[in-house]
Amino acid sequence: MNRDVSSRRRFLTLGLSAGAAFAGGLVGCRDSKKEPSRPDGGGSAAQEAGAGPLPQGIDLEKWNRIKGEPYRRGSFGLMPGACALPGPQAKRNWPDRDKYKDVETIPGMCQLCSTVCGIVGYVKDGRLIKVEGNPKDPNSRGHLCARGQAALNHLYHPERLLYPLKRVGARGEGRWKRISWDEALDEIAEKLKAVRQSGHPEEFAFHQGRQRSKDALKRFLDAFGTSTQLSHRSLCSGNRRAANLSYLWESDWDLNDVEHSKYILNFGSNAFEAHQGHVPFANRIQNGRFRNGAKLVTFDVRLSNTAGSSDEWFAPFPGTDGAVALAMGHTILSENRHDESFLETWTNVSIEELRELYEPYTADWAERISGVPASDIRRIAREFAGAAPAATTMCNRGSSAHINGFYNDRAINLLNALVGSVGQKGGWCWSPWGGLDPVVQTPPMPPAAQTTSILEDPPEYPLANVWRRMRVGEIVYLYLLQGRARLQAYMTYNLDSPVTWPEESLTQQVLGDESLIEFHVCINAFYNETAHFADIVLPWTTYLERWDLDARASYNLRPYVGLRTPMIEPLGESRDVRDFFPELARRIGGGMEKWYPEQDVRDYMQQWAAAVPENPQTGKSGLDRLLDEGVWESDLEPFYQPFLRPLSAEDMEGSEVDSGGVILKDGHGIGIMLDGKPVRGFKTPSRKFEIRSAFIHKIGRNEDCSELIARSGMPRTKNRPAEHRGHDVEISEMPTWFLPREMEDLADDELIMTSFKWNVHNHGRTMNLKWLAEIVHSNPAWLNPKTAHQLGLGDGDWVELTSYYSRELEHRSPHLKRADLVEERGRRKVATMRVPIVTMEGIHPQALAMSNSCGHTHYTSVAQAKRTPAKTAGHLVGSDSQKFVDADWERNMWWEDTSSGDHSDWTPNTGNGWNQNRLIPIAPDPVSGQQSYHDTVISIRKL
Amino acid sequence: MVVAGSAAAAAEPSEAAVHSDKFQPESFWKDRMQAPEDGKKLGWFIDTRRCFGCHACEVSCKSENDVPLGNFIRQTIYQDEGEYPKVARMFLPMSCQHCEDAPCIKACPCGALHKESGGTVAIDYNTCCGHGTCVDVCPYGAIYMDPVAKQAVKCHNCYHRTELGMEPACVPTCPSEALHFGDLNDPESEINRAMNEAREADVELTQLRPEKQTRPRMWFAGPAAEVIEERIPKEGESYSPDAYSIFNWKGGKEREAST
Repeated sequence: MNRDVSSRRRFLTLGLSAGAAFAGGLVGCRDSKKEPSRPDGGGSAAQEAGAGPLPQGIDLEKWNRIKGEPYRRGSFGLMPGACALPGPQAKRNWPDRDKYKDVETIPGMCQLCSTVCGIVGYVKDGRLIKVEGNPKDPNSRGHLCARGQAALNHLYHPERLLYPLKRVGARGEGRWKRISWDEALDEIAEKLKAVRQSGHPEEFAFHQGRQRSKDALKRFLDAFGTSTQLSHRSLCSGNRRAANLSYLWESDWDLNDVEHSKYILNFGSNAFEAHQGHVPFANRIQNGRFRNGAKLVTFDVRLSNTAGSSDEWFAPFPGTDGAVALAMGHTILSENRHDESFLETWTNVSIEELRELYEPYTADWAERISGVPASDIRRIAREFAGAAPAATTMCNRGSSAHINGFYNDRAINLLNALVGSVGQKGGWCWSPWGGLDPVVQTPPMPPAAQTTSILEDPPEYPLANVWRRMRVGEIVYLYLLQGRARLQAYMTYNLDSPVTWPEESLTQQVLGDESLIEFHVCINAFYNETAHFADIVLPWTTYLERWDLDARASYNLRPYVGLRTPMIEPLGESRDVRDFFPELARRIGGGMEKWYPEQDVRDYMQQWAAAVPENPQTGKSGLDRLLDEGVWESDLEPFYQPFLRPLSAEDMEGSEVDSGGVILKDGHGIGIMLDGKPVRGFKTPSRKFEIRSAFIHKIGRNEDCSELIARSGMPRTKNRPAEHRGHDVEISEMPTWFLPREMEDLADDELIMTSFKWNVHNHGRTMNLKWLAEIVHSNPAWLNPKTAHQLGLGDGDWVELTSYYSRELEHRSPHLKRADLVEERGRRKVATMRVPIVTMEGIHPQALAMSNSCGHTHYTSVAQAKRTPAKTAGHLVGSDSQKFVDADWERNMWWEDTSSGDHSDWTPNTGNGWNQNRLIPIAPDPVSGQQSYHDTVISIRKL
Repeated sequence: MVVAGSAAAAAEPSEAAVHSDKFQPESFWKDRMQAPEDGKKLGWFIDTRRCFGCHACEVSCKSENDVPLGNFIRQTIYQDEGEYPKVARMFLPMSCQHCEDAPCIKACPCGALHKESGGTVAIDYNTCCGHGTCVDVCPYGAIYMDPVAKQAVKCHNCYHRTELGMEPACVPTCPSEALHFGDLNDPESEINRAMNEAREADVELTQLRPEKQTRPRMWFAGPAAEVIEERIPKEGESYSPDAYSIFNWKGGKEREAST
């Protein structure tokens, strides 16, 4: 064997100083028959004093004794994480100095959360070896979070779905056989054809969990002719969007210009761990703080990482963010720290009306309700106003995923108007581009389907669909169970509703019931809980193996276009919808096929991206430019103070000005007169920032709002349809606030359960990724130590939690009819669950916090924290675990729970946690339909 | 204890000192302690004021280097400080400190540990045969023994990337721009820019366990280094998955009280 010359030289220079006590197994000693004179080559055994000189040199004998069995490999070779270190004298270099030589760099966009950061994939010999952020992405600017960095786990996974599956046995039994794509598409086409022929195309529902291929989905569903296009939006951001829309109409998403701020006032956003726009936003917050001197103050029931890093943290009683915000507004107005000019010019209320509105909302009032000291409320309000206009609020589900969430966010957003930071640099901004720069246009799309379904547009929720289609996802299974709708066919796409929807057992009950959902096709890259209740499962490509043009609302306040492109050939038989929807459409026929001319996906992308302008340096344009750089950003001016933009003479041609100064053209509002000059104004009925929203009040009562809509110039906004008659909801025109009544008289053993996300997980789709699951796989419930002590609980104790239905909703939403829930202690019981607690100083004493994302029952062995798949994992016929052997997982996984359900035997930080959604009731905000995740009353009992 | 500059903390000599009883004779390691000269002085600046513990650096490192589960080249340790309602959370991103006077090089019995150009402390895998003495003497717990290959692994400054003009895998991914790496001899380098910016803002730059006198090439800004110092692994230890357990996020006082 080869001898390493330098080691030998070292050996020889030692010479006699090593002495006779030299151990055997030195350089070249495999040939030697000498037994070692020491039992151990040195290693970690402590040296005794005076034991003689230390051993020296390469000890091959020891290494041969201690080395592990080489990793088992499938035909794919070593999987990510299985490091083939060479062993001494193996003459291989590690780290591999040639790793990045002759490598292809391919642009893409992450999809492991909703932020969609631009990425670059390094591909060598057809294998993706690393994923990083794309520095050219104008939003994320090259940064990529832990989720995005786990891309290789997502792509190369021993239990990834690679072949179509068809159910054998009963639904939910988990028995499957592998079928061909031909067979699968034939059967699906037959079923969907039948739905069309039944005259009820709306009984085919498509349900996405997270989609970034809107054009592909809309094309298929509109060509089919069903509007039952369901989503998860109301579980996420319905209220946040509705609150923004009520003020702006033009945008449902505030883009806080934090990089240029001096004061960032955060109510319930955890931007350092989650938030749509997470990486772009968090990066800019830190820049604002450390380069621009901005102060970050966070209100959150629980000490999130954002709260924990903030300059100040306050924990309001759950759901009282709006009260605190109103009290801040009261301080600002009563101390005359408001921006009089902005309020008088650009809002549709007078200062007098505002003072009247705020009068009862004093800091002392807010202290009684929220527990936040009045002196702090006033102080923070003064600081905020003092920093304006470079001051902005920020908020998210912490403030809005409540039964009173719409009003919480209305109150918070209003602060920006009070101090005049609306649209200002460093202030509270927005843009009309929530996605792709409109310069790129898809090939012609079919006309929108015109069906109605109670599942897509429940008549009880006034604000769910009037501006944008947000829908009320969390009522779907309940309404099916109540017989208010039926589904002949259900197609799910990247959805894990049994884990992510409230009331896990109801969701599973409905999904498993063939009389409620006759036929279920699941499209996913992995066998998750949804797939478990399907009839046919189709293996979907990952985001690293497909095409899209994609973009998100940019914090640069101007639009861009990003490209998702296959970095490698799709594994196994996985296919994207862009690839198989055309085939499915042609098999269904009946006119669908005309929206799918023969064209490969790349050609379609070429057409779509055609208008991307040329880069003068490279000469590339359109798709070529995107393939080269990954992203193109427009050079439009950032969308600051858009309401001041003057209207041109051309704009004004044929227009008329009404008595209120509103400029109308062809009956639609286009602007407003400002000091005798025509400007764009806000795209609302009053052309101002609508503090008083006549629209939301009238629409709540099913009144005709055509005139208001016309003046706004936002034709997308619609009256509520005829099916909504009789479902009136009182919505206050002006910002207001109320406390859900179930919070009012909590017993000593009752707490409010709040939810949260982890920085290494998204909601329900990342627990199968081993590098992320290693960091977080368990979710004990957080409890304040003083509360724990009062309840006789210690750190790590197990408790039984019982959740209760909202009394507020029993009162306001009788149509939900939860009379099936057993009455107990004056509340209706939803579910119980046993979990351990962890005592944490960082939580309100009356709250209990559990994360989502844990407690999977399927979704691969990784999500279940099981070293080996269960023997009954029948779905594995759809994977290729022989090819993609992950020996690192098999050998090195360390967090399996070995307690067999015995709590006293449970080792902390083992197992895969508990699904909080077992406890959370279906609880839509009566105004918008936003699911409440942070209001659940629970009782707690020591086990 | 963490102290700026060179003053050592008042600690028992046997605790403070590196475990020199395991060192090889100087003649054995002297050459390997000398980095090949290329004019560069590579170092790290970790701005813990910015870090919000997202673990992107750790997962990027796992992905780049095929780090086995249960082992870590890089690990971020969390700690909550304070009592409700005044609580904060600190984050300390940890990795090999690339000591100028590296005890691992001195202790390595087979001569695998050495310096690459710029001062990167690295391991020669043709030689490393699993003695593990490096783990015994590292004051920062930065080395692990690969569970299958039984060879020592630690941060190598991603020299396979930097040689090609790339950055170490953890640096560009960091969403909060808390990690800075580069040539301290280059006045225009990004690391110098970041350290100067911190100095101009009157922010103290500290080092970990200076009483060990290993002259680490890593500086920290922010209070996390001092607060979390006692939880950093010590001689004979490696980064452990236990650091991620939420039961260990608590401050030392609370942990005591609850046991």
